[in-house]
Amino acid sequence: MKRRTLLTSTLALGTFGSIRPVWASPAGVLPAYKDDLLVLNEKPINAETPAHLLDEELTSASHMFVRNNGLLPLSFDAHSWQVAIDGEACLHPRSFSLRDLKETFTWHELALQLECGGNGRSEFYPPASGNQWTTGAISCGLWGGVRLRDVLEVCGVADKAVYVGYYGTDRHLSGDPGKTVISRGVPVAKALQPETLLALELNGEPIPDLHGGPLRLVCGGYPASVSGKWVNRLVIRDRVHDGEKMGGDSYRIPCEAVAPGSEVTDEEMCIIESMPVRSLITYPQSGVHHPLDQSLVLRGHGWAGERAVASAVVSIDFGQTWLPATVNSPRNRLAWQRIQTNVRFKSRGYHEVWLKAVDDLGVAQPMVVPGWNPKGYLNNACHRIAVQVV
Amino acid sequence: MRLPGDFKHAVESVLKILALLLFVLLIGATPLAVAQTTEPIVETPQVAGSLIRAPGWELVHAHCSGCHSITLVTSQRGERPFWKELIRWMQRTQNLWQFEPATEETILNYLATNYGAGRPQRRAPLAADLLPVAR
Repeated sequence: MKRRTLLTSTLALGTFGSIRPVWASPAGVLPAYKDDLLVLNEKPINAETPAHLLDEELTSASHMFVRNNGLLPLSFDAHSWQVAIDGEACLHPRSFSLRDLKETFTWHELALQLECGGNGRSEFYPPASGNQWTTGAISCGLWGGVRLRDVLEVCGVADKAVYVGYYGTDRHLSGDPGKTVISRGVPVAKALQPETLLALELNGEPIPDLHGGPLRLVCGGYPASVSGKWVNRLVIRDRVHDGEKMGGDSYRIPCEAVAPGSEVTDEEMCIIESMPVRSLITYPQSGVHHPLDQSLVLRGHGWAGERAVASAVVSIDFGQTWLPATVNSPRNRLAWQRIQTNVRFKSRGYHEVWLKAVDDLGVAQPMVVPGWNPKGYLNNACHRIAVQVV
Repeated sequence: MRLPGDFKHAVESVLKILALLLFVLLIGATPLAVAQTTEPIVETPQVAGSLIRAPGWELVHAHCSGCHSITLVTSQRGERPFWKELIRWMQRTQNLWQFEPATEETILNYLATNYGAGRPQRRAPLAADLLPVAR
């Protein structure tokens, strides 16, 4: 599904007082540079990346999935941007401009995997509501910025600190300015990890508007919803942050596993922290024709939330036998890891290649859809591609 | 105070038609080009999302496209309780208005009939667009 921005028509419509970014027309939901993504929802804008476009070592902005709970902010102005730090457990509340951040703190660049908690939701039965992500709500960009830890420490993290929450400038779908779109957060220990960034750059450029520029959080390995976009306030809380989408069935799963379709009360739900081990075959593209007499190069990435991928195997016979693949070390902690191997087919006809990664605690991806939960999170079933051997 | 959905929709349609007229005047485009480029913007019933044309679809479009895309409706699957709970959640937390009982009945019947949960599968075959194309 390709969407082409029609700049002129949108501008004409804009003269009637509807203030919105030029790409927010239904015709051009995404800016032209992201034309290859699959649009799942035009309002709010959500789009995922086909697996074969995630073959890059570092995900380019053009191939990064888009997840929104609300409408985009009205301003992305880096010069006037301020981020306030406060909260019950903040000893010295204060604000920073982006220039303050750059001049005060050490700059870091890290490759960090961000995966939507609902990646794979489309496979659950009974179906779960929300964007029907298949496999493409994952990215690993090179994020540049300052350590959240350095910023928080200047502001004083009290002993009673439990959680760090964010607020951003996106706008509620209903148009109600009193409503917060999303305000999630992470436990203090995650906020203070050396890889948790308050980021200003993606792949050496200012963060694109659509991806949270000019300032966003990047907390790799957790559901990407904790990596708040367009951040203008951070709160050091003395309790688990209770912002929008921290409760109910948002980004939470039953504390104890339930049968598919069960009703689960709020009290029985627990917040998702680390994402599970998962991998993707990014080369070749599913549906490829391949000659019987040649071996097929397979390439992909694996990641494991807060953990690392220790090994990976592939199957070309629907999981009856498995062959080892090579797994590279991550560029840094919480970066995805390159997986590659070659396979040779024994017969012509329809085949599937399945890839299964195993994390450093020995936990592997399941071959079928794992435990059902009300909102369809954490489907890390192994990735499959189709190959027609000719 | 909130405008009734149908009236609000009508007002929006008029504004969009005015915008389209202005666009034609400004750009001086041929009728063919206009039809092609503005189709998704002017949400006449012929192009209003991709709701299945079954009894009640107009009501669903009128009440469900104010805040979010129609795609967000057509991409979901569920039985009647699933749709009812989604509506209740939007009414509790997302500023969705209350429906007349008859309106709600029509909407729920439409959604459960046309966008039901489908057949149970622990894992479906690969999607059609991922399969090899016959040569």
